[in-house]
Amino acid sequence: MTNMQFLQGNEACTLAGIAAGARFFAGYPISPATEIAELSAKLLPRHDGIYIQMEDEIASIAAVIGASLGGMKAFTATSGPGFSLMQENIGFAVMAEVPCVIINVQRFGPSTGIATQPGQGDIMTARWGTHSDHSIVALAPASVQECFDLTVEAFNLAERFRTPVIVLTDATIAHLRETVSIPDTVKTVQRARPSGPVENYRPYAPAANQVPVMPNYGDDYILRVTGLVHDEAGYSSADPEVAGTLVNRLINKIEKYTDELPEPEYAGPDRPETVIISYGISARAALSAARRAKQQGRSMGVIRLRTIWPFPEKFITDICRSAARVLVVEMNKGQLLREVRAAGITEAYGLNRTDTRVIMPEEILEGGVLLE
Amino acid sequence: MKEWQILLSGSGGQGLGLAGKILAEAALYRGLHAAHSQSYGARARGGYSDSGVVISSAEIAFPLIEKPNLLLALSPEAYHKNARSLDKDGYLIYDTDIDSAVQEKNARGFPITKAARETGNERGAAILALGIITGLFDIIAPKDGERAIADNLPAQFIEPNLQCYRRGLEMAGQVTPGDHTGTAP
Repeated sequence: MTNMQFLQGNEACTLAGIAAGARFFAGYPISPATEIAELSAKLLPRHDGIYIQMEDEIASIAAVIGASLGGMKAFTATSGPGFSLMQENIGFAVMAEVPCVIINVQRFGPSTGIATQPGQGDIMTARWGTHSDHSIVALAPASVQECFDLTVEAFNLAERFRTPVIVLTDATIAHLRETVSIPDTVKTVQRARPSGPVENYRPYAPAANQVPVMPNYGDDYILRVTGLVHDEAGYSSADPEVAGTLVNRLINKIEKYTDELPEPEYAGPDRPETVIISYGISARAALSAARRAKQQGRSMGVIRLRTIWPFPEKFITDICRSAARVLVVEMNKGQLLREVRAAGITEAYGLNRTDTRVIMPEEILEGGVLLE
Repeated sequence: MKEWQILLSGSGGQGLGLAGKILAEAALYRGLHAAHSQSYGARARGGYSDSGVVISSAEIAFPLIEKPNLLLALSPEAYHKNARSLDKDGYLIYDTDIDSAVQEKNARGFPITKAARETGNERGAAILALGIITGLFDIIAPKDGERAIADNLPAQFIEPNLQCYRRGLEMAGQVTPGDHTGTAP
């Protein structure tokens, strides 16, 4: 059974968190993400969950990490300024392998920018905002329905990979209202728990798919938690062997299993002359442009990314290989374009907007014509 | 039906965001597809504000207003800002209080704010305009508009807003059919 609702993106993200089993939200309200905190405050207590408004975003992500270590599915929501503040602890969650979900409703500009206007400028912050080598999972919904579906997926991936997962929406999708189909139950992933003797339990010994099994903090199984390089027992170490093995495993446990992440969606002819690559609200304009291009007899296909990180390189290169033109459409100065070029599509062009305005279908149609 | 791109524009506090949501939900009751967006920001009270509704019998690819084919202008600023973007065959409904030399061909003025004030609910201006739009165009059914109003307002505000809505329907009823009525251009 499903229940059809007319919702804003922020509402859909919140309902998805609860449907996926999240029972803890800690956050600091910020436009354009505030409705997620607001609705969490209203709904979580009804589900025996906990909502805490923290003093800032650093404390918010710290509380989320603590709740997750204690055994709860936990999330927070923020926008650019708060997302910057969270970066250190996101790195901690990567290193200590703490499942959690961070919804970043992208708003316009650097620093405090414009609180109520959209942007897609946090693509690289999501990837490299926290320091040093690591892998990260980031998903990007393009509709209110996907705000629901991909937030559920984010919680499942966080548990599956024991890692923070970022949901990158934007101010437009966050406040857009569309019809959403909400199922009575959703598929959820429960984290693997240790079994067997408590003695000699090693909390960071790789198990299935290189992911260690995780007790709740305070269980009989001793869980040592640190952001320092640590051995399988959780003791800090400066041993080159330990350091190299850990960093490689943290990356490989995600990068070697990318086929489990939401695939891009391709819409268009088998061998398109023009390929548009986009995500989020910009991808909606691209899909609309492609529909019109087809009516004009032009050969245009759209690759819509649902997973931004890890970047779905193979999917993109397979489709773009035979294309005459590749256009990457995004509301930033070409952050994903660099990634497309690095994947070997060196002739890819960018269609970008960084003036708070959403990219319109007609601009993409014209952009395609200019390249022809 | 062709896609309706309806831009409700005016000033913050006129209930444009809510009216847009009600319009979209009434369209959904009719089995149509709808998407609703609204302006946010410090200008939400008093300054320029708008709300966009896309309604279509087909799935909506792009959910925002590109070129409105039905424009509601409740303030001079809303008229001057948006009239240029109106589709060449689009319709304009404006508040006669805006006192501008309206030249658009499919334009029709109504004393919207004045009529809302007369019902005792000036803040129901956008809802009254929704009644006019319901009466003039084949977009939503009056019963669905009333249902969506009841679904979206706290109990004590339902009746005053239904009064505005029905007043708008009456005002539309006084227009000679054919002139400014119709389906999406």
